Parts: sequence; C-alpha cells; structure tokens
Amino acid sequence: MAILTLTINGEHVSGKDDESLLAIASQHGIRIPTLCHLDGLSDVGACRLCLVEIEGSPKLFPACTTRPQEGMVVSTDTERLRRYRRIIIEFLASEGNHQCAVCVVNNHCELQNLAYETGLTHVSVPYLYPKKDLDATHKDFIIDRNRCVLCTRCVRVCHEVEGAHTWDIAGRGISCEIISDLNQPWGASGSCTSCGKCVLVCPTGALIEKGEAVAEMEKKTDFLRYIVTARQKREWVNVDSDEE
Amino acid sequence: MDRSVLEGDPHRVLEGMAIAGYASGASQGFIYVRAEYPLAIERLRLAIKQAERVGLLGNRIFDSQFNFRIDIRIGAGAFVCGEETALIRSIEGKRGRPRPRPPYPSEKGLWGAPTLINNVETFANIAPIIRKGSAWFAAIGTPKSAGTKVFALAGKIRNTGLIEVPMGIPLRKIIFDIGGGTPEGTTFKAAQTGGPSGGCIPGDSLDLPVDYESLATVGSIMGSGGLIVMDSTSNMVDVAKYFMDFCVDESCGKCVPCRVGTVHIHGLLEKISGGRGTTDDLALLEELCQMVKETSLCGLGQSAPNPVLSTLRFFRHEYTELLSAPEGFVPAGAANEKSTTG
Repeated sequence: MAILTLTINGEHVSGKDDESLLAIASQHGIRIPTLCHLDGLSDVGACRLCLVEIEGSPKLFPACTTRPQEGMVVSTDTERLRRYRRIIIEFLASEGNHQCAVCVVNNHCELQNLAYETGLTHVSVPYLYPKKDLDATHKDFIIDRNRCVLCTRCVRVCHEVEGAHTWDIAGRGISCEIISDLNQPWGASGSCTSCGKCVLVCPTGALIEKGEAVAEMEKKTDFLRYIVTARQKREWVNVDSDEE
Repeated sequence: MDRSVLEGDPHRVLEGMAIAGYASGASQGFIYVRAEYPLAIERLRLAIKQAERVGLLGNRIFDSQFNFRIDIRIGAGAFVCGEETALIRSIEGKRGRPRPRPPYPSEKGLWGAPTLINNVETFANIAPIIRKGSAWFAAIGTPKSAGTKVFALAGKIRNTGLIEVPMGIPLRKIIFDIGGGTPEGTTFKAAQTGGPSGGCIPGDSLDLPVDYESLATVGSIMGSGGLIVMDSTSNMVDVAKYFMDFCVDESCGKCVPCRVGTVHIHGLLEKISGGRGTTDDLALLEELCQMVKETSLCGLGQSAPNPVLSTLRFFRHEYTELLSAPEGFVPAGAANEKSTTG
C-alpha cells in the first residue's frame, strides 16, 4: 500500500492506492453523486452517476471503481458531468412508475434527492409506463418493481452480507427485473431469511416494510458498515477462548 | 468471418490456442462459441478429439512437459457476451454481464486468474505467421493494419458472400470488382461496416482504403467484418433504427445509459421516421446519442449510438426531410392560401 497525491477539483488530496476515487473524494468532503454504490458492498459501476473526468483522457471514469494514480487530475463537477447526471436521473424517472406523492419513502428517497441535487425540473424523454408486478406475499415486506432502479444493492447485500442470495436479476435490457429465488413469490422463497437487509439498503420505495404509510419509512444503511467492519476485524470471534 | 474459420479450418484455431497457451504458461483453454453455430460446434468437437488422439492437445504434447486442454463453452444467445468481461462471466456459468475494467482479464480474468483472451481470427493467424515469418505477414496489407480480413459482403450488391481481402484495399474494389456493384438501375450510396457497433462509409469515400485507421477517420470500425451495401433505394433513418432496435434487445440492462437510453433513442428514431419528429427531437436525439456513447459501461452501449451518429453525419438531410413543423407553426403564406381556397 502506498499513499498517493492527486488533485480533485483543484484541491490537493492524498489517498491510498487501493482506495477508489470515490472513497478518497468523500474523505476530503467532496461529494460525488452515487446510487448503486453503498459503503460495505462491492462496487459494480452500473448507475454511472459517479463518472468523473481525468485530465489527459477523453473518456469518463466511474469514481467507485477507479483507483488513483500519482499526480492524477480529477474533475467531479464539470458542466458535461452535471448534464449527464441529470439525464441519468431523467432515464430512471422515465423507466419506472415513480409516484412520489403516494410512496412510503417520500421525502426519504435517494432517487428523489438525486433529482433535486441534479436540478431535474422536468423529464424531456417520454415516460415508458412499464407494466411491472408488486409482490406482497412476504409476511413482513413488499417489493414494488415499479419503483425499482435496478441498482442491485439488494442482490449484493443478500449475497455478500447475509449469504442467502435470494435476489437476482431476470431478463435483460429494459425488461430486467429483480426476482426472488428462481422467480418464485417472495413469500414462498426457501432461501430468504427475512432479515430485511435488502429493504434497508434499497434507495427507493421498491422494497418496503408492510404497515408503513406514505412518507413514513426512513431507511438506515449504517448497520452495514458495522457488520462489515466487525467481520473484517473478526470482532465476534473470541480468539482466546477454547470452547471445544 | 469467425464462423467460416471455425467451420472451415478449426485446427488452425486450436493450433493458435495451443501456441498461445505454451507462450503464456496456460494449461487450459476455452472456446466460447454461439449456440446458433451448430456446425462450428460439431466440427470444433471433432477437431479437438482428433488433436487429442494424435497428441497435439492434452498431456505431454510432443512428449514435452507442456499440457494443454481445450474445452468448448456454448453461448446462450447474448450479443453482449462478445464483450470480454461478460464472456468470461458466461464461461464461469454466471449471467453474461460486463464489469468495469480495470482489472483487465490479463490481471484478473476467468475465476480470478490472469487470462489471455483473443478473437478467433487472431488465433487463426498465429500458426501461419510462425511458419512463414512475421515479414511475410507484414508484407500483406498496410504498415499499421497487416494481413488480410474476411468480410461478409451483404445488402444491395450483386455478389454476396464471404471474401478475404488484404487490409488497405480500396472500398471501390470490394464493391465493384468483387461485389459486382449495386443492382441494375441503382447507384451506390454507402457501405455499413462493423454491424450495430459500426458506421457508414458514404459514397464519396469509395477510394478509402479499408483498414483500421482509415475506417476510424470516417467514424466506423472493422468489427467482426460485416459489410452491408446500401444503394439509392435505402433509407438511412431506417438503417439506424434497425440497428438501434437490435441494441435495445441486446442491452444487458446493467448500466442505466444503455438500458434506458437505447430505448429512448429508438423511440425518437421511430418518431422521426414516422414523420412526427421536430427539430427539438433531432437535437435531443443527438444529445442522447452522445451521452449514451460517453457514459455506458461497456463497448455495447458505448458503440450503440454509432449507426445513428454516422448516418447523421453523412445523411443528415434524410433526417431533416422527415421532420414535421413544430406544433402551432404556420408556414409563411399558409394563412393566405387558406383564405383563398376556403
């Protein structure tokens, strides 16, 4: 591991060579919008919101999966990036059926916040109004695929943290959908432990708790950092005890 | 194209792979082949068996310490599995979805191991180059694009089929000498190369040498070697729409720009080709194409707008001619006309 110096938005910053540009930026108080990224989960570079410019290359790089280099000059907030981020949010808004006024996570929604942040005032592409399912067969939770942005946080938290791998993706392109087991009703899933991690990490109102009314549900993702850190540091393993 | 090599001379590919395995220290190779090529699969299987029987594959090849096995993996009909990281995931038995690079396959590839991944055409070239020397190979084609290229000649042309030509051959020779020109009564309009990821070479560039560098200057690519000829009866907006329809179908759905952007680009093309598009739609089309090109995760999304951008570059008038007047727009003199006819 080495410490590198680079420039982000004209500010000299330092970071470790095995950290992402996103992590380094956030340590220095520089906010880069993200949606599929979540601290504690692997990065997939799918939402494309965290794209940044790197001097010397015409290409754009996802900050979540790009590693720093000595002397790198990074811009995270140019006119082009702001425009593209707004279009990405427009795409997500047009792709689903997002009715904020009747959503359980209204005012606590990452998609909504990103729309405010990127200055989205109207959607210039036509709404696609997909016909998607809602599955309320689980005793505690509901998945409303109309509000899903396919960030795959639920897929990753279930596979990487809970170890159940209940969620996965079916179909491709615009018909992609999150499914439980081999497309069984969630309530009939044999692998689901009903731990609820997927519900907490979902950035929108696609995964919600039953019994919550409009604008009532606030999601908390802090738990993930504690679990992951505790596992890495083996805080739950008593190395001194010899139980056997 | 690649299928013709796999069907016509599979041993050439196996030999190239074994040599590559020897050079890189690999003992296992995989051939990823589309399920839609059953004859290629059958002949590859037979060729692998033959090679194993005479000791050209398997353990202790030519009584040396070198072992090399080749297995076949059959694709399940996804265009995106031509992208190397998606192909690797598909071989692993996972969903064929690309992942961001780096790490490149040479660092972290199949099951996390450093992986050499090449095209059929590349492996097929290895044995002849070793046998006849690099000077022989470099003497064919141009200094930067050496060797030959196989094209699948199709479209509005008299002689269709597979052709093998030296790199750098002028397009005119391919179209008129080999292809025999466009059908009676029509004139050559454009050649589309690189399929849904490529672009058009317009009629005034007939003397363009067909090599990697020259194709790039007109915004097209060599790709897998598809060469579709269009004549004066072809509609370029429909051509762009056809390829975009393909990309909508083939997008894996992982990244937002490709998953949603291709649908909206296709919708705009549909609107424009139906005579319902406005100048605003054309401006939006260009903006979305640029955005999808620059922000998509893998080569599929990054190149999906190419047929649109390319036809816009050379045949913009075909788009503008289809545009309808903006809503509420009254052309000059129309008011007078109404009063006289009404």
